[in-house]
Amino acid sequence: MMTSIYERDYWPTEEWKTASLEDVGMDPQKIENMKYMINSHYKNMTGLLVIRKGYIAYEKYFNGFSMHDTQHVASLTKSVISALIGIALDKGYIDSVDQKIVEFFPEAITPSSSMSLRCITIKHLLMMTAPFPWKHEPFDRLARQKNWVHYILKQLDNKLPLGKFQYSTAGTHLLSAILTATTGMSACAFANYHLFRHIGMKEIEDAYMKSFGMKDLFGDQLNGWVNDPQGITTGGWGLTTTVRDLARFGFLYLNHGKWDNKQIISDTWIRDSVAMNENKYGYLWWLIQLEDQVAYTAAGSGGNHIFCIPHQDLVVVMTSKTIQNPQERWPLLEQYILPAIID
Amino acid sequence: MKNIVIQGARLHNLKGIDISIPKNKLVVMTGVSGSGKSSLAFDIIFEEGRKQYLQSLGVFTALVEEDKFDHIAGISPTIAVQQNMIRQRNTRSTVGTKTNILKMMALLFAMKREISCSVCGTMLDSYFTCPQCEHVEESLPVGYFLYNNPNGMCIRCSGKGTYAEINLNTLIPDEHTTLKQVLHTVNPKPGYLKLFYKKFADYIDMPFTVIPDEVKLDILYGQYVESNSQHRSYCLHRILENRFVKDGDNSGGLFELSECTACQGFRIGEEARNVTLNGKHIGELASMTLTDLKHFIVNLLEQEDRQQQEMKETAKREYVMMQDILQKMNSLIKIRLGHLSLYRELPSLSGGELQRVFLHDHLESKMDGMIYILDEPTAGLHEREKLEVLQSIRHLQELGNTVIVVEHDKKTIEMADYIIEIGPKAGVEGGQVVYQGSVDGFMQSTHSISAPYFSGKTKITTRTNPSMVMTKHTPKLTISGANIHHLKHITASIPLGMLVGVTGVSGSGKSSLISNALVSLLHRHFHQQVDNETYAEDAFYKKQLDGKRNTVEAGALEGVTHISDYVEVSQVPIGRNKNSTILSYIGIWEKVRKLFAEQPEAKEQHLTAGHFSFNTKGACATCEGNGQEKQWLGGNYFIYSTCKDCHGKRYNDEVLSVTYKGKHIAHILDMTITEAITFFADHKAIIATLNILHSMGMGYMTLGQPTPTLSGGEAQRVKLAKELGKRRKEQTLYILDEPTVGLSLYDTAKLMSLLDELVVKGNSVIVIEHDTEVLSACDWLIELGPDGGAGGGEIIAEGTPDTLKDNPNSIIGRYLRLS
Repeated sequence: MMTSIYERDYWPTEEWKTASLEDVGMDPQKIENMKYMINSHYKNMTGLLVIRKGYIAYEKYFNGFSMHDTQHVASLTKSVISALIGIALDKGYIDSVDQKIVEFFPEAITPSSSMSLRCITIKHLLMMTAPFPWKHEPFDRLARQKNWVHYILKQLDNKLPLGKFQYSTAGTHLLSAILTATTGMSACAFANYHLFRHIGMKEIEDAYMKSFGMKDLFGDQLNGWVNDPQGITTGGWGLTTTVRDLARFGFLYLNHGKWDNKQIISDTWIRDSVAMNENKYGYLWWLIQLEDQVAYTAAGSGGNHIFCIPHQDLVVVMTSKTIQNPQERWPLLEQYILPAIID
Repeated sequence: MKNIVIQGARLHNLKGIDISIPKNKLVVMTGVSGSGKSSLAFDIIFEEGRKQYLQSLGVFTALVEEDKFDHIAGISPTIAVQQNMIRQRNTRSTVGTKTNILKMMALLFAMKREISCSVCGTMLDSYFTCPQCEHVEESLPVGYFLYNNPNGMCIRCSGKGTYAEINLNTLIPDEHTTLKQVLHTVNPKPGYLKLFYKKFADYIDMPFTVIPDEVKLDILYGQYVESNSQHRSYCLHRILENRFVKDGDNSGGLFELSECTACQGFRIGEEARNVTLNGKHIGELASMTLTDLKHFIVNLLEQEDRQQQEMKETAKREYVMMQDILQKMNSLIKIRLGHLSLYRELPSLSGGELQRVFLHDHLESKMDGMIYILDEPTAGLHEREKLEVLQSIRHLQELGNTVIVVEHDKKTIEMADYIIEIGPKAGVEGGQVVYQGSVDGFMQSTHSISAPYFSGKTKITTRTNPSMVMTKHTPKLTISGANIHHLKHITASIPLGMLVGVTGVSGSGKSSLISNALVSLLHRHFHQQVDNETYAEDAFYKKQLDGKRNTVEAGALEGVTHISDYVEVSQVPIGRNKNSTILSYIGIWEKVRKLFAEQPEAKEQHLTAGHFSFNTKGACATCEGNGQEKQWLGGNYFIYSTCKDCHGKRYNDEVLSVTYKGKHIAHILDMTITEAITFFADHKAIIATLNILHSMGMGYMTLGQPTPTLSGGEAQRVKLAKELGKRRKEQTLYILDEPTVGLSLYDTAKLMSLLDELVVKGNSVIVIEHDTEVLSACDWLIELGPDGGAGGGEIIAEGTPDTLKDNPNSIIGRYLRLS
């Protein structure tokens, strides 16, 4: 993959600057045409933000939302957890992605624990290749557990072979628990301290959980970042934030982890995170093979995305209300946003 | 209308027949295999009954592919229960799931239950707040009570209640055991052993315990791979699991099936186990026998009755649900299934039990005026079990339905109200109504070729050497200490050079003794010789082998030197691949294609043998060689229509332009075996196996018939023909599992003369059989019993058919024909 390093004339730590579509080399008419498509086929969309060359080139909100509203971004959260694992590695809290996960949960290992469980590494969880026994993992059942981490480890105590791509939200929760085990902080607090405040994202509160029903964990009234009964930040979902802050996170990746002369996440981590592979899934990032380039996206249920297209210096954020069977979002980029680039 | 009237039925080989079938009667439709009875019963009556019913509901079905008949009248909604629907191997399917009672129980639990506080254990009443610690429990949705639901299944065993795994303590007895020793203990085939040696060369002499975990994992459980159906790279787990699943061989205790320690075998998760009804959780209830469960529910209902005064609306719903459960349970108990539990896996049921579980659904139906078509419902049943099934079938008719049974069984025929025989023979020689009328008339019929067998006028077989008796000089094969499944450490002596019948009620241990114990011991004997030679230099390996031979549950085998080889012909269906045909299965497809490639037209067009395959180069481009296109009609309804380009011929025009004796390759596939024998008369290699099939009464089958469409019995005979077609040493032991299933007595007679011929040539034959005609013709019988399951597993009688008749311990004896 060609790596593009762009010079920035400002950093959106305090505020994003806006430019016209023409100024950033995009055709306004093509972008205008997209509106009809959104109105007819993407009715659950709440926000759309196009960042080109470091400037806001297009920003629209729908369904009564605005740039100040925070929204739950569902599984998009996973890519933030990925960044946090990278930072923990950079800072020496974690030795390597090849570390076995049982090292972090010695209490869960018994003489009868399976060989599979003993061999699962952080990398297996990052790449969704740990052997979970489900086709569709039951969230309701997870929510009812008194100790989520133990329940998830029990699922992995099986004889299945490692290496099969199997998307699992429970697996990412273990990563959050590993962050807490190694840093002594919740993933949310760790994110605030080592990531969000450095790139101008609003700090996020640990949610106050009165109970752990499906509504408390997945409902549309979420605030802050939810956690499990042990206070471990949910690793697979639960982050609530604004469209512009999501764009900051994507922009950090586009800039190889460097923000205003400060390396927030190592460049190596970001390269490893988005290196193309047969599953088209990196370290909790979905990978998109373009002709000779690779784009990547954080993705959450309903149509929440941070699309990063490095070779076009482009970040596109979309937020949505969660619905059943939403339209794929990538065609909007493929048919409208990417063809609008004229320089 | 009082009758189902069909005029001009001409599907397949039916010769434009007119027939009138009385309604609300028990009708048996019989005839030799391939006579056309299934075409009439399933392809015309069932298809038409289903189609007209769907049309009346407004479902579009108007895709008539074939011109089947001129006129049909008096048809009703039709249900078919076919053998292939019943023979199940899915262990996730249980009596509870099949009858839906488990789902009803789960609903009952979701509605009403006692729950214990998950914090302090206090039992809660109808409210969910703990009076002790004020913890609030949430109610559990229905899925939590079902082991097949992700919410409900025990995480450790995925809802199976058991799990099979490598016994690491046996495999790796101490910390000095090296990988090499581990591999030799498992004893994979030499080729695979070499692969292990190569892949793990660095670790081969290392003690297993010090090998890095990742490598251990790779050796034991493998890695995920796309390329094979088990999605697991070659590893010890795969080897041991295969042996266990296919041969019932636990490799001397290396692979063990044990009760799940997390759920104690109750299949469901902890959440549901905390919820009880009168102190029992759903797993405990589903493990009870239906009879005990019925008493439990009756008790619950009595409690409800007492509280009826203040019954709330929810309680009423529970009451109705319990009544429904009770009713279903009663109907199962009535057909003598009260000993089963809801968790009993369907594949572990005997044939008779399975038939009754399937019929149960219909027996409790409140509808009448239906047409039921049953496919050999007594196949694989012991005489004693047949009666129970036949009573159920009679009951189905008495509910006001028309029951058409496609059957060869004498008992069934004797009980019928009306008999229809299609024939007289198979294929082109069949397709006519040979007889229709009463049972008495049938027995007297002079047109029928099967009636004389039923009435006893014609004997099923005349043995060439009728007076073979086992003496102390007769060479014998003796299995001792057989302990597989329910076998009770038994010793069985099988005389060689004879036709030996092994019988017993379903589940009595016939298959365990022969197909599992004997076959795995023979397998070890004949295959280990090879292994022993290969690794003779390795003293450790030999020691392991000798040790294991004594520990296997299969037992020990003596007298194996008297046979030169063995052949097992089971009823397991051959190839599930729809592109596999009889021709390819028996191994002559290649020869036929070569013959076509040698023709001048083929050479001109540079067509090779490969072009005459519809799977590859020669395929019609439109249907990719399928000959038909699949169309979805909604729901579970599919219709196949003939490819519009090749008209079902499967080939492209270029290939079809090549002919041999005026026929192109698609013509060949449409030929019957009988026709092909004449057509290929000059090619001995092609017709050798075809001749055997013909002599087994299978001349009616077409060469291109896909193997998955063969019935169990047909598949077995094709397998047998293939084995017989191979040149073998003398003194071969042939083992056949119920070879007569699906055979008319006429066809059975043909098969028997073939078996007789094998014995005459100095071979030995063992048949696992229920058919009394076949058993009566055997030289020696071994009967297992007395009951199925744990109540069986012993040899209750052995001897000649004549001595068994007088043996009070024998159950089959009284049914045997006097010689």
